[in-house]
Amino acid sequence: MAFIEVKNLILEFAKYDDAGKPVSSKRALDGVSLDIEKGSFVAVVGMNGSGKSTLAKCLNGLLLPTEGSVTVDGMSTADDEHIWDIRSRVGMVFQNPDNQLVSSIVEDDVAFGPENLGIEPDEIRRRVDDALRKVGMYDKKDKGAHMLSGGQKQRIAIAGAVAMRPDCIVFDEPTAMLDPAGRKSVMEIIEELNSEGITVVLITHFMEEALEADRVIVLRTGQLLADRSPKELFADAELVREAGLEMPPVIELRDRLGLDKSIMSKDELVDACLL
Amino acid sequence: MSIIETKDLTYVYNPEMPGETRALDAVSFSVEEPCIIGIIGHTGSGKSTLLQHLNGLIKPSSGDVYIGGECITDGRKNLADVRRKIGLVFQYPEYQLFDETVAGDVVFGPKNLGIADDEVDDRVRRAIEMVGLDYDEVAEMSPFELSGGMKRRAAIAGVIAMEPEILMLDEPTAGLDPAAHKDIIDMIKKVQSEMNLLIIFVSHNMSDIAELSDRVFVMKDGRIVMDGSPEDVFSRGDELREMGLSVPPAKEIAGRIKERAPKFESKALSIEGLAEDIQKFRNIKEKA
Ligand SMILES: Nc1ncnc2c1ncn2[C@@H]1O[C@H](COP(=O)(O)OP(=O)(O)OP(=O)(O)O)[C@@H](O)[C@H]1O
Ligand SMILES: Nc1ncnc2c1ncn2[C@@H]1O[C@H](COP(=O)(O)OP(=O)(O)OP(=O)(O)O)[C@@H](O)[C@H]1O
Ligand SMILES: [Mg+2]
Ligand SMILES: [Mg+2]
Repeated sequence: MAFIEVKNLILEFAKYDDAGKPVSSKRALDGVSLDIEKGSFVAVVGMNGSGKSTLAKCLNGLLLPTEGSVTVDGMSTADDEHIWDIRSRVGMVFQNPDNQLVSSIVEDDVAFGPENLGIEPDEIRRRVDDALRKVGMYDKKDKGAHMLSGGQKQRIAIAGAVAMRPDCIVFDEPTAMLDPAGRKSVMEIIEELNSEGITVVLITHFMEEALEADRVIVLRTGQLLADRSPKELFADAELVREAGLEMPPVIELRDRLGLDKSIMSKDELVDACLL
Repeated sequence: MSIIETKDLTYVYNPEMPGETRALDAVSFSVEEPCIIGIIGHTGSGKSTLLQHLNGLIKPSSGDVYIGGECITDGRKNLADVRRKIGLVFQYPEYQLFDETVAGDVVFGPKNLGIADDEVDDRVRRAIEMVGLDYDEVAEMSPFELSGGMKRRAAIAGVIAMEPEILMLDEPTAGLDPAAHKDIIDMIKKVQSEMNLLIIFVSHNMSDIAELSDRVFVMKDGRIVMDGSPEDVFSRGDELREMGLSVPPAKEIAGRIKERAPKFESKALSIEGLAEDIQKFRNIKEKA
């Protein structure tokens, strides 16, 4: 059994008229099935409105299936009994660093989640310190959150998720609003968390970020268009175009130069150019 | 005469209170010709604050803004007139779409200007077509039925319909999928060349800045610390990285090649241009 199993997932948003009567519905996910193995790094890509954020919210029960099922470690998200357990195992980090921080002081913000789980103060202290060290923000723990740059705020949001000691963190476009240095540091933290065993689901419009994943899931109009390694995905120009995606810069350059399709990184590319 | 000019523009949020922040610190620049200006800077460097000064949304703590030679910050100018001439598209403008139809949203601005109805209809049609949407297809649709990229374009059309003399966009491509992203880039180029206006845009995407800008401002801690062509600015990669910025991927890869092959030269900012330069370099090597 995979850590997260999504089976024939259909998610419909109901539309209501002014009197609150449902008049129609919008199918945001249309029969999606996939497995996410423990410890893996999965990227989710696809056009605006393809269903990425909706899928993310289904993974920890923020949205419940209209049909089909989502299970985390064997527990169904539709099962009321397990919902808090599931939410503590699958954390979320969203796009906008400004909307995510709930406290004005950094360490209080990171402590918010564990406090809500009813964990005892000593243990919370330990978790908060650990999480802040992990994202490189320990020395800012008693600073006001408003004093931080966007990239720093995003790292605090990640620390908040890490302090829950989750098995998995779902990142929904975590770098979209950051400057290049902020993007780089957030990506490094994501990779480090993954190397320490945390399962990572990364939703992104940046193809060079998807390149870092073990596997890329491509959604189109609520359906699974592809589920394969970055190497296989970016070898298929036709599919990339069909999905409304683009090649990462390294791959685009590789293909323009007619270099070997096994080249996936800047280092390999530079080597090949100098041969 | 300059199209737009600032002199020692300075702005402090929350003066003499906790959280006092000097967001702009003696910013001076002048633009003489319609062109595209790209602004980059670390988060919190003052980019959005600067744009809001340029169309009179924020009054400076000190210093002045001149539009077409006229001072807009001395308190004598009607700021409603200024805002009409200088369109500002906020970050994630699609959140501000509110009408039941796309046409209704786009018509809102020009109608408030008191323009005759048939002229308004013309403008709305022109603006919607200018941003690359099909008027007959989308005019009566609800903005909520549009894709992310289409919503962004509809929101931009609302500002273009005011027929501004200067168009400013804050992070126009953030959060868009690659196809929509490319559409918006192409749209900005088209609007600039067809309307021949000054466009000022802010972005964290170095490739967009390189592709679109005739001139780049680099902001750091409330100041403009570089002002030059994209080629000039992006040739100063070490300084940019020092302030939390970077260079476009093509430039970065070129730098790595040059580290190992000092004879390699490329000024290219695009992958396409870099590919050509590498090809030439390899041909020369082969002959040698
Ligand atoms: N709360 C909601 N009510 C109604 N429809 C919704 C709601 N949330 C999303 N949708 C619709 O569901 C579809 C999928 O939306 P979703 O936000 O999952 O897309 P996405 O892939 O995350 O897009 P983006 O790249 O723009 O973030 C879209 O058509 C969207 O309009
Ligand atoms: N309403 C406000 N009240 C107090 N301080 C503010 C306010 N808005 C911005 N600031 C501060 O002013 C400085 C400049 O902010 P601004 O939003 O102009 O930066 P920016 O370059 O647009 O950043 P980003 O890339 O994150 O959008 C920052 O230090 C910011 O925290
Ligand atoms: Mg989304
Ligand atoms: Mg800003």
